[in-house]
Amino acid sequence: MSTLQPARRRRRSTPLSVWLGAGIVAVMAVVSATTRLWAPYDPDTAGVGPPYAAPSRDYLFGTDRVGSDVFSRTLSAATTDFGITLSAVVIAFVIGTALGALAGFYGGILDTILMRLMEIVQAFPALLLAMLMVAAVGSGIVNVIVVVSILGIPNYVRLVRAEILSKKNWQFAEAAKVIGNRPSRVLFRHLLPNSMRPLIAFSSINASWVAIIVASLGFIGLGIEPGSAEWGSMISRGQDSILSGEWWISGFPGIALLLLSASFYLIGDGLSEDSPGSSVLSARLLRRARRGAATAMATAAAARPESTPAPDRILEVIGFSGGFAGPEGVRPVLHDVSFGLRRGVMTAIVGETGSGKTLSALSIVGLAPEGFIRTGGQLVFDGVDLLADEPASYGRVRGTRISLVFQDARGSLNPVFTVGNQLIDACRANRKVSRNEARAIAIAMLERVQIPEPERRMRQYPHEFSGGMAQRVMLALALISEPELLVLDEPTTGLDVTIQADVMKLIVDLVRTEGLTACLITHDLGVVAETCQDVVVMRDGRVRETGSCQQIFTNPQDPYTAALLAASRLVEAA
Amino acid sequence: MTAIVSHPVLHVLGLRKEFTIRARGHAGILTAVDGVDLSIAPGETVALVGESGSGKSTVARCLTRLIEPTAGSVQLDGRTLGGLGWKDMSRAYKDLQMVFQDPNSSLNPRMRIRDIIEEPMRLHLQLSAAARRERAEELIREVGLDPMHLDRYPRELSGGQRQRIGIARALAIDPKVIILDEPTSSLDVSVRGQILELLQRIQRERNVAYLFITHDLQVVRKIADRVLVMYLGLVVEEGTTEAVFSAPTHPYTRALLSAAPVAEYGAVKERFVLSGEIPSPVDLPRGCRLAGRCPLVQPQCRERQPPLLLVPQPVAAQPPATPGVLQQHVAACPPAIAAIEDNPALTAIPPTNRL
Repeated sequence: MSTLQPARRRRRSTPLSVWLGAGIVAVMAVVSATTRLWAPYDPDTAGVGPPYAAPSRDYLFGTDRVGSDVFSRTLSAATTDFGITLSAVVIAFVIGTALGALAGFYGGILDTILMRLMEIVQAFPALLLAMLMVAAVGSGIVNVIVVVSILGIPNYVRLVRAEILSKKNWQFAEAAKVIGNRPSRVLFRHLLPNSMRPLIAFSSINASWVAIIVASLGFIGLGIEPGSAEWGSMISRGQDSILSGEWWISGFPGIALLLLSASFYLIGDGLSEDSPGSSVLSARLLRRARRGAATAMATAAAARPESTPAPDRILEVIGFSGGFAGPEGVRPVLHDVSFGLRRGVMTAIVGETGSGKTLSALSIVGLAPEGFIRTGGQLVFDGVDLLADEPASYGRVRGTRISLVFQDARGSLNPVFTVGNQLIDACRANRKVSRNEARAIAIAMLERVQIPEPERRMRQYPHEFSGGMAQRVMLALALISEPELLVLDEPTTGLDVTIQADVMKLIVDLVRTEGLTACLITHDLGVVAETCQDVVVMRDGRVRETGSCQQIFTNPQDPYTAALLAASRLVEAA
Repeated sequence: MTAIVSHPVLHVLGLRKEFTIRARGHAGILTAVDGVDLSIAPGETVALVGESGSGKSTVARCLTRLIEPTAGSVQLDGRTLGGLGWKDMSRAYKDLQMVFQDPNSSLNPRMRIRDIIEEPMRLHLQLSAAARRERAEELIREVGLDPMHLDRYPRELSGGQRQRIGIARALAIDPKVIILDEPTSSLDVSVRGQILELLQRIQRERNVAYLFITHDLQVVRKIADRVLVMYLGLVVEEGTTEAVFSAPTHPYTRALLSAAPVAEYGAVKERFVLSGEIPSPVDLPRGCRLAGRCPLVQPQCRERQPPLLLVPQPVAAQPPATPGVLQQHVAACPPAIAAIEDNPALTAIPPTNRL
């Protein structure tokens, strides 16, 4: 529940490359639609000038072998190439999206047949297939458009099918069905609009590819009618002249093709990335915010009176503040957080979503997320300020003197290693023991966390463990380095109540028998009441109240604590 | 045997759902719901409680036909819903709506709140655009939000506000039954209370029946008239909330109630502990499904699935008669019931828990 969202609602800025690409494409579109306004000569007439004239003021791009104006022909070809590319992409997009949506949504025999067909089309190299098909049906604009769209369709089918399959069981799709929408409406009104972003990005990249294929067909003489202006055939006709120095005949149509293809690619590439622009921006913000925070901290540290931590506390959090980088410097999320953890005691940090409880706890272990900037405060562990020379200080204590148990046990264990291997590795990383000794320690550890048949379980992989058992393994992993402080981040959230009760009981017993200090992060006041001695109540990044469990539950001082308690007791105690 | 409701608005008999699963080459049948009977009276709230794997959510999904049940009959307001195509089902949805667990994903991110709330009206009611607009404004007020929210997108609202929109959408066509699938489990506790109070107020005003799927026993205690406790696809105990919470009879119910944490300092609880882990639903034991974990187990428990039997009631604890509803307290545990019959004092089991 307490997921960290360093940049909630980060604005999706469109990357510069998209604007650049779109700009060039737009210019090309305008030019190709209005060729006649720009072309100084008739593109299809030979002898408007001398043959092989170099680019000059009269003939901007020079002339070719028969004395046609290359500039006029390049412009005129834009109409052809741009038009074919756009039509082919639109046709492939519409047909491919419809087929893919139907296949993904309805599945069954339709899906099977369609997907096999698509595989057949995709089994051949695209250009080869295009050549074969054009050779079979004959050249001409319409034929080229049809062939190129057919080649593009499978890509759209696959993409849309995958999108629909992944979203089919999303709750809003189910909700749309339960409202009484007919299936086709669920598909076209609810699912498809939510699958459009990757599709738009892909179609742009596809356009870039189509432009090249169309020109390639023209280059080998399979494109539209010979003689009419088309970049591919122009490049082909000018290629002999390159060696004799008349580079402009192929060169200018080549540049035009490259420009078109590259611009489409820029758009697609920019759209398919998840706002890289903003991450570049935030890296800059981060650096600036860090610098600002460092100066502020230095001043604050000089002004702060020397604090003497109470001797019975293993960890003292003093005035800990910080936040995430924003356009106006650091956006604070933790405000002057102070609390202590008494030795041998289980302390709860309770709060709701956004209270900063998990962030505070992860900071203790030096695992605050990337982008979190500390703006002040100290974390004194056993008399040493951990923040004074991080990250070195954390290397010394994390995993050895301080261990962490995550919420999602199965997600936190490495799925490709057996549980036994992970325990043995953790053991050997922290203690000088042989592999066999480590193995014995690991088995003893699994027994301590009450996992039946530990020797057999050692050979199993994390996915073979139920949620409760996996959390016990996490506990064993955390305890194998014999830590003094155990930080538990919502260790039983997501587990069933009976399993939760068993795991919490185990944790309490272990903490007691091992003489550990524990810090339990939770949103569940019920769990707190049953397991902890000290409580820290947080809200909106501030500590609202600290006290003993008895005082917090029987005599809360802060109105928020009282409100939280009331909300946790839906039904008045009998 | 189930509590008999004379004119149920929703009546389910022998609901069954099997999934064919393939794991490591060989196929197996997973029985997620193994014959569930259930009746809900108009304006009543029935809670379906159980842990993961109990089949409670599968029941909800079968009733709304998000998945096809394998067997069983469902009657909604007197009409049988067996084997309906989408057209008939779409008409049935007029009376049966659902509120989903995760308000963050149950609203279409590309639709405005207004369109989300108006969509069911478009599909089921012949209303003019102006009438729909007006109704959407009434609905959003009814769920405690301001009409200005109508022109926003789901991402602009908080989790609790989104769940209110989910409720408004379900109410838009005035259904007779609303299935609520864990509607508060992804919300903070302070929001949970508000949503439950909203649901209670709506029920009082509209006499709508709720089938409330949840694992949160506090929520059950607060909102439900009757409870069905499910374990591995079967209902193991059923009764009024008062009866089940004050005299939990089935060992699984007792374990569940005693495990729930209570936000009370020094609450003395006696845990009723089940040993071991939940058996795989693919390979269920022949007799009682709890036999392998139960401290009360008898040899005959392993022979065949025990039926739901009436739990003897102390005279004083007879529930007040509600017209139309026969509030029986039944449990599928002969040893536990025999123990009560031998020693009637046991019916006054002190609440194992102060939930």
